[in-house]
Amino acid sequence: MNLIQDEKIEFEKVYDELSNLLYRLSLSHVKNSQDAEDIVHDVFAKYIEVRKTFKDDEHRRAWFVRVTVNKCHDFLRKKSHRDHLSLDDISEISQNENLNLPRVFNLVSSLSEKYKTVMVLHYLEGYGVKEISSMLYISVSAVKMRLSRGRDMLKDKMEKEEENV
Amino acid sequence: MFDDKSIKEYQNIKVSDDLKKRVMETYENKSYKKSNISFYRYASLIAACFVIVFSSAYLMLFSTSVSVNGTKVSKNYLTVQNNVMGTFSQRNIDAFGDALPIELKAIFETTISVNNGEFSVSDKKTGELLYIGNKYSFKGDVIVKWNVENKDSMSEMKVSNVFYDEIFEVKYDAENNNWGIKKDK
Repeated sequence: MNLIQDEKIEFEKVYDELSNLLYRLSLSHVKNSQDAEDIVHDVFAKYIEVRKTFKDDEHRRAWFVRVTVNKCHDFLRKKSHRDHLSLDDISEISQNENLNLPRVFNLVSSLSEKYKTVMVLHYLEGYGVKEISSMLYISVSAVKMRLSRGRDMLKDKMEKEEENV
Repeated sequence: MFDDKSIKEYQNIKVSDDLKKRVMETYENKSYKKSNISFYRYASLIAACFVIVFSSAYLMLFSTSVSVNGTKVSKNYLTVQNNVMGTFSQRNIDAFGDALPIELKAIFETTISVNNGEFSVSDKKTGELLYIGNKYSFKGDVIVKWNVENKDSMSEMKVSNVFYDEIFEVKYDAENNNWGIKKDK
């Protein structure tokens, strides 16, 4: 009985630690709070289902981030099939559905799928290049390259915004 | 890249409390089902292990049974009248004359050998004579009639199968015209 209780406490701890990160990450992709919450729910449901064991917290976090990003892509892929649009088009359109999100979030979210995740994880969530590379199964140099291009794209967007103002 | 204020604003984006309730409900439901499945899985695994262990032990200990006149031979002497009819047919006894009839049941290939005299082996069901000599391998139900040559000395019959060897001691009591047989170890 204690074991079951301990497991539940441990699970709740994992949820409290990661749910906000995963939610923000999902939101940056799907740009709709309800869809983002559904994705986070599905990620935790998968975690319960597979009962995966991890080497340490970093390993577990990497698994959660990877599964979340994959679920976001699946979600957007289904949506794009339904609406006959590309993933990035879907991303652009969805942006209008969300309200009252910080400007910085909207800016990063507006980047294409390839750059968005690394930008969110590095500049907004504060993870290092090495950890992001293990989270996303891509090389350190690929992370650096995406960060560099993402930064350039973001600067362009910011300049355009200022011009419009 | 971004100032602290922007990052703080970003980090204020939080998931709703409702989601935690939903996730915890999912946890409760799935864990309950999983623990039940795990319990039944482990219980059946343990039961299967017990069956395997007990049947193996049974096979190992009782794979070959040796009895005389319907009584299993144990560590105590079993006395039997010479030329006893018992469960054996007259034909079997007559075939070898003055001898000790022993019934053997073997699940696995079993070899019997004696250190004194010879024995005949007959199929229990058909009565067919299968062998005459002092060492024989078989499987199934047979009747061995052991013709002990030197009745004054202690004689031994060895029964071996894949799991163990057993020695049976046989002595003849001339005064009462009977045989005594017991398991040595």
